[in-house]
Amino acid sequence: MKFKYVLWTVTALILLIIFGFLSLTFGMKNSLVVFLEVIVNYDKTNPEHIIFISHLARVLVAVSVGASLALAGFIMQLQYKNDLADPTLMGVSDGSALAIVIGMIFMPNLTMLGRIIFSVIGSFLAYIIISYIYKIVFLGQSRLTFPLIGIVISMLLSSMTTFLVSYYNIAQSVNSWYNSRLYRVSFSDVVYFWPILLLLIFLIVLLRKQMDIYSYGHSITTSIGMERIHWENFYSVCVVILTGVSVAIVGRIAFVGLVIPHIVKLSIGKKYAASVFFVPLTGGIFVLMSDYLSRYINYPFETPIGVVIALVGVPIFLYLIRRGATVH
Amino acid sequence: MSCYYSLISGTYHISNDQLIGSLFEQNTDSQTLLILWNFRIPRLVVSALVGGSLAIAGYILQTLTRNPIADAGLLGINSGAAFGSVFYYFIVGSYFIDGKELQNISLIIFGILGALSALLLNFSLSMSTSGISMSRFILNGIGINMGFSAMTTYFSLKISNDDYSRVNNWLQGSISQSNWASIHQIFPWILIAFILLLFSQKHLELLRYSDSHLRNIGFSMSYWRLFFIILASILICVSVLSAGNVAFVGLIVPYITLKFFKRSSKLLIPAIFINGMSLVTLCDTFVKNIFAPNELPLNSMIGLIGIPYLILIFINNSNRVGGKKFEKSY
Repeated sequence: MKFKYVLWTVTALILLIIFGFLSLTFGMKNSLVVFLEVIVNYDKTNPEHIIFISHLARVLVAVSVGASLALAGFIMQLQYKNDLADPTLMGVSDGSALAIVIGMIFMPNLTMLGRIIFSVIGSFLAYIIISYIYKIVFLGQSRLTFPLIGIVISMLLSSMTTFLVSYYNIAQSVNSWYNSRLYRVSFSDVVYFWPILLLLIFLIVLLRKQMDIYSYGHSITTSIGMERIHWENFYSVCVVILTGVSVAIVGRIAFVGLVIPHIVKLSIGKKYAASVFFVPLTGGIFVLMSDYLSRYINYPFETPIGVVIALVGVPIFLYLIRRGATVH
Repeated sequence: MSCYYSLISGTYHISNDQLIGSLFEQNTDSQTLLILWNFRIPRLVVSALVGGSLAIAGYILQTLTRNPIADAGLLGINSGAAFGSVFYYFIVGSYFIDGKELQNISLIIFGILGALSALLLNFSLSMSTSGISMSRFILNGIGINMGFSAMTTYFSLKISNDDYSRVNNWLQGSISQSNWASIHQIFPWILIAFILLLFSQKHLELLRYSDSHLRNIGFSMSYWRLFFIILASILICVSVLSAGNVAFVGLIVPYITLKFFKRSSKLLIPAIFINGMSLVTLCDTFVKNIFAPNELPLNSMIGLIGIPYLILIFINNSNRVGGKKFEKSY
């Protein structure tokens, strides 16, 4: 095993443990004691234990959201061969949001599972729009045009969402969910999230070598017999499901899918097969750290997590634009 | 025409003769008078002024960057102005309780500084050895937009409560809160900017030509560019302070106006202003009335019109907008 893989994994695990612990025991005194108590002797009536469990749900969701969004961004960058591709930036999550809002209008008591279904449908439709535009408009353009169009689509979809929200007067319930409700998740959400996530990660890891081959471009791979259309569909489905589920549970978190694959590529190297392990891991830790920071910076108030991630994400985004959008 | 319509309609319907009657100060209902003068007309005036100034600012930006989709909201200047103002409140706080005039002026100056810094950041980031790539410029603008929005949110959580309620009014992007006082604040700025612009219109036209031409005729590009950037920032900042984050006006209006007027016509800038006024007033009337008494945010309305339009321009002008490199995708 290469040294940097080991180093990266160890660092990641250490960070995971540290920040997980900090997040779990946020605001509690005698944190270590409570931690041990919960593991050994869980007591339903003790309020500190209950807080602990709800923090646990929050930690798990944060890690899952980070992992899935990072992975979705990773796959999108592979598929469109564009450094700036990201599901949130380019409208897939806005499509999800629009679908969820439509669902909320017609079925006010939508359960979480229903929300997830709507969300996946929405992200699917948005993704189709983006792929279509990729094929039609993109030929012969500068590489930076594609993210730009994606951003325009995202603005269109979010305008439609705002329009519907105002018209049907459900602004409050939408807002409470839309701008990332990491502080209101419960364990049942985690139960929805994890099977899908693990399954997809398992599949992607299993098929990672094909990612490298896919990245060689159309002419080479078709001449050796690779059925690109199957892989395109597979990757599309992955991105759509990952983004759809994330948006349904947590709302919209920008920049994660954009920034994490690049950070991983910088240190692990450009081979997709190698970095596919580390992308979800890094993504999860990143969101976990941001979540912790968002509670810590303005104590006792919670900064919206989008702000914290933007503080890191925007400079990296600007740097990436400066470098140009070809996949280096 | 749109002025007339927006005056009449609204939640409380005023009939025709009442309108004319109160205009000429005859005996009317005091309630009518109240609504007319304290709510409707200021709102109308503000929307007109904001529309016009945003349209002109958009035109200036499009001329300066030689790119048809440069626009204030898209490039993050709006967020820069908002950030400047929030930052002002953060630093100064409610220091001046008596010196209201001074406070307003310094607020606007901070807003302008914020808008300018956003723009300059964008310019410096998109400079490369081969000149300014336009798509890079716009993408940078969007990134800067997000960055400044995030920082604005962050700082708005840190300022005191009174300031926050004042800030929140225009951060949400609505002109339903306008009153005569706010008009008094912004009108001088717009007037000054407009007059300056009328006098320097020819210089603006000259900036459309490429750099090498301009250097040949000895035109001091940088000074005039800076001048126009500051002018545009003033207009945008003032609009943001009155109406919050209203996008796309500066995008649509100059384009449509250019279809009717020639570029070198002296009527161009007043026409842009008037068209901007009518667009925003129309939209404002629309959002006020269509789902009365609910009021839609102005942004989404203009966004719904503007974005398909933006896509259209984009597809038509893609080689001018997208940048210099020509690459086959396979």
